[in-house]
Amino acid sequence: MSFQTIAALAIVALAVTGLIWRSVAKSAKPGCGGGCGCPSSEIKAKLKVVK
Amino acid sequence: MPAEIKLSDLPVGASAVVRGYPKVGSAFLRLREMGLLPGTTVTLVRAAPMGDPLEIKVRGYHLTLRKSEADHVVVEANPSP
Amino acid sequence: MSADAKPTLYPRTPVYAIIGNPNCGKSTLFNALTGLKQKVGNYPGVTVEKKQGTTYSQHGQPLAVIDLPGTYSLAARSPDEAVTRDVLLGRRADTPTPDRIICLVDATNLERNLYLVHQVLDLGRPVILVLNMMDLAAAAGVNIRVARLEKELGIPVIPCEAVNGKGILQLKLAMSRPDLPLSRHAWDVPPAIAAAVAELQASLAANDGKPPLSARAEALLLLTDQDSVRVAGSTPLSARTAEILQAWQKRWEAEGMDWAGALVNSRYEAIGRLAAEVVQPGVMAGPTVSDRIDAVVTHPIWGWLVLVAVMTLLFVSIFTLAEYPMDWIGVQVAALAGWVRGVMPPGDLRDLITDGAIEGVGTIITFLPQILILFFFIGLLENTGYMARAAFIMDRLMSRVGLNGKSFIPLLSSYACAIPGIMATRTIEDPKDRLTTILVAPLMSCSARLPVYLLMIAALVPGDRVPLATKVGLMLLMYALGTGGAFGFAWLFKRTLLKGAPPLMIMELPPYRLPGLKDVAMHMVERAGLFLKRAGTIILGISIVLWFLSTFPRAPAGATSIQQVEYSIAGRAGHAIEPLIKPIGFDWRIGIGLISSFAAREVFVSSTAVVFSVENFDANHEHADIAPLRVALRNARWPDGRPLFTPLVCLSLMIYYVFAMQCMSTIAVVRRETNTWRWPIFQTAYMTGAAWILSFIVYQGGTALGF
Repeated sequence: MSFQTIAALAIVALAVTGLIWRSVAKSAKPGCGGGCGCPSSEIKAKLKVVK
Repeated sequence: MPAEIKLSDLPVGASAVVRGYPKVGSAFLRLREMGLLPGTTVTLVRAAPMGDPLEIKVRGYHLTLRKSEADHVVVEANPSP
Repeated sequence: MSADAKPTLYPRTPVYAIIGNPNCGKSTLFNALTGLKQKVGNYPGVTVEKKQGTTYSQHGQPLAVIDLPGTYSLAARSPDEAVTRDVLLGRRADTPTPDRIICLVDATNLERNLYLVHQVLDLGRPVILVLNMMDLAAAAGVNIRVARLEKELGIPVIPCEAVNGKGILQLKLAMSRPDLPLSRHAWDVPPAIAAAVAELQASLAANDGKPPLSARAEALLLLTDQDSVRVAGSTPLSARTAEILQAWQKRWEAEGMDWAGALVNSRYEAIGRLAAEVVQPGVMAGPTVSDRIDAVVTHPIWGWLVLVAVMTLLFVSIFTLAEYPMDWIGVQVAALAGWVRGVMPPGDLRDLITDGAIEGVGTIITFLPQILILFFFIGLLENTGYMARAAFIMDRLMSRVGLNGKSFIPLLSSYACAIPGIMATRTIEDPKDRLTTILVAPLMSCSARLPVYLLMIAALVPGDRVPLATKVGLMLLMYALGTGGAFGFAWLFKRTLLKGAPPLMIMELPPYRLPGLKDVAMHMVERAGLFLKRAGTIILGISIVLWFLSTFPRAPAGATSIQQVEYSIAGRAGHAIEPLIKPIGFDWRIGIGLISSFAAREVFVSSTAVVFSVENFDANHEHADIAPLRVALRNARWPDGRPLFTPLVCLSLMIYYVFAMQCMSTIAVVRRETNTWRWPIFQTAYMTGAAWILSFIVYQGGTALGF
């Protein structure tokens, strides 16, 4: 296998590991961790609905 | 004898003084914490486009609540000016 | 460090907490103090945002500042209020007890705001009172005698206008003081309750290990809390204290005494007396500007028109303003890929970089301008106070469907992303309402769908120039479909599976404010950063994996590029589901896109780019540029030569995306918020089912009609 192919496969392996690790870490931590780009807390605060 | 009516029956623009909450519950506690106490003056500002909820003015700010909630607030209408 | 220690020079950085009512400008103040030196995270165990930052004293000493969630009272009614209470009382192990507290108060409605301050002063810690929005107060004719207030309370009182930066310097000076006076705060607890307070205080000190002043404050709080909200991560009451509390509560209930209300009354009496000394209400000069705006905005007819106009303006801006930046980004991405292709010898690594990474991430980044505009508008609407009016108008509609106005906020948030919307449902007490809102939230077209809609709209209309009206119309249609679907299903659920009573709705309508453009801009930059981070990490990773899946295993030498993709893992997966999606007009390549959308919906665009580029690339092997995705889609064909992306198929695809449940992260959040797999599975099933059926109707119906 050429150098390029090996390098490419290595990067793919890295990517897969990274993605899996992220999803495991995410399920441990509550909330989206801000990753989804959410304005929710701002909306919540401004629109404080009283129970 | 000034009539005691439900907040939800207050005409738009009229002011009244809160007299009591016949039904006890945590939602009404929060209303009180926000300043809607017996003895407080409240004005009905408007109803929403579809008739519900109501917008009231109390202690200088605006609050919304549903007719069904306002039903549980007893007020005494101020004598008309 | 004991919270009741006499104020002295702190050997370490003092920790400040900012507390205040919602809508009083707390985040503006926090931004003004900390600038970009802030960190947003989570309180462990709770889905409440933790905002911390650093500001600097006049001596250059760093001061830690925690921005606590807004609340009207320390008697918590929701998880974020519970967190505020817990942090102040030192009940959270993960957050240091604040040494000093900054109470932010809206000068335009002093009395209600002072209620919270009154509770905080019970804690016996140094407090700085900040009167915000002094300009608005002055405009409303409210005159506050600051010096008098300072004298009465015995603590520093600082008038300010956080939006303009006025008063910030004085605040920092006050924060820099080594000593802060403790307030002269004494008030009469009604005698009937006093005995209970004393007993609880004693127990809290003995059994919960609370210092005396904190214990008293907490005792008073317990007696105002009718159903205390407890959250994960907060230390519970000792058994003895809980016992005492319950005994007293039972006794009062038997006597018919309104114990919780009594304390509220006492506090307001004290506040009323204070306000009488300190506030000079000016002459009420007729309806305020806010009132006049509201007369239009909440008008039975005009109000709706305004709402529709606002939504339309939003979408029009998304299409027009973003065009130039988008094109520019597209050119840069293509140039970058071309450059890489020029300098590297052919091979897998080069392909990975150009067809996988650059193609995938680059395509997503071209949507950044549009997403920025979306968030800018939402920020603007929040900032000015219009959002509250929207909820006010919508409440009646919501209750027709069996929800309440409180569901509107989570649903509205879902236009940006369903995940925070679903988390925002924690403020809904009724479990059935909450579940219904969670089940339909993903139908509100989230921002991740935006790239998919935009791509399909671009591919759908023939020619290069799409009439603006068509674009806007289609967008509005998709959003309307999603919203309609959400309401429709909510109605269905509330009538069948989740029947229940319509819930309560109490909400403040803040006066209209001029938008703080600096805040909105900071917000936008924050979002842009998050979006790019997501693109740079998750989507990059997925694009790389997708490239791998569509390239390997390699077909035997001599295969055409199309056969190559088919031979690969991705191709086989796509083929496997093709029978399922053929009736709705999709082929296996779109199938690959559908599957990869489970990672994130916008990945559809990247994966389509990868799959088609991988295909086309071989045909144009020596080409320096990558053909724009749109052209590639136009050229795509079924095996029999028919064009793949006909306008009808594009429409069918968009409709599929409006309804289908795809995002894995959302499924995970629903699982966590409902504590079972049953509901996320049900949700995926009903949504995807509806998506397929509707796409089917559109595609087959359209084909039958001759489109």
